[in-house]
Amino acid sequence: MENTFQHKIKFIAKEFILEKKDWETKMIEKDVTFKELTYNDKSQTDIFQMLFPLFDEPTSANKKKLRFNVDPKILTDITIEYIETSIVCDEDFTESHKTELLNDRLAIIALSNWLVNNKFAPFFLDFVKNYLI
Amino acid sequence: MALLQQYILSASDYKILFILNNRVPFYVLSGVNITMDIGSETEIIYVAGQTKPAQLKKNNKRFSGTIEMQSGEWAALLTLAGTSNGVTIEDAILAITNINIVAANFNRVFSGLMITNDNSTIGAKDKSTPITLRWEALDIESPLAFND
Repeated sequence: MENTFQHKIKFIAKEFILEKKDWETKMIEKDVTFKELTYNDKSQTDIFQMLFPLFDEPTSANKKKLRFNVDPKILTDITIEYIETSIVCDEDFTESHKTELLNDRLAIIALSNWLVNNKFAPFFLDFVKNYLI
Repeated sequence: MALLQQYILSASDYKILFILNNRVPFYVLSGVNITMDIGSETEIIYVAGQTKPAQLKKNNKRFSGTIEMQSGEWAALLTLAGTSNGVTIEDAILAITNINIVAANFNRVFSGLMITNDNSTIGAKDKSTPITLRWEALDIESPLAFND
């Protein structure tokens, strides 16, 4: 099994309400399984390349304090790419839920804020440390 | 052109939920074909002294259709239902909606659903083995229905 992690996500989706016997569009919360970013997953190559513009060019001088340039557009694009390639769908979080998550731009922005701090930045810094300097 | 786009739904734009009579919900993930047939029996009324029909009347609504899905998923659903074949399933719900934004929602919720036929074939050269379920339902739920 690939290396994965779970993260709770809130997004707008259609849920079936049994009492009303009808679909309702509402905010739902689901534990979603993601594949970790890795160097050798070809499906994640685009994400990897999209990370470069977010950081200063790494040198031996700035390797310990690499500056992060906030660019919401790039960050949103990376998050969308990450959702498309790295979510592991199951019976609870289906492909339909993934489509609904991709339709909810505010949920993507919220997820991108969490991802950049907890996954993207640590991964990129690790890459800089291991490969570039 | 842009206006028409919102009316065109592809198969991936739908969310399909099957709820067993024990009320366990099951998203249909490997649906190959879902058909829904809403019909009513019609009768032409004639009156003496006239050759043309006087009225076309209808009553007795019918809700039926088929679900074609991969046999592996169907086996998992049967396990949830605690049964070995589909024809024991009664009082289920089939709920279908579109998940992408369109001018109006395509919502179909069939209740009191009974599987009437559980048909499967395994061919020697098959790459996949979908099963076909025929169903009939008692009602269609719709909060917008004025004439149901």
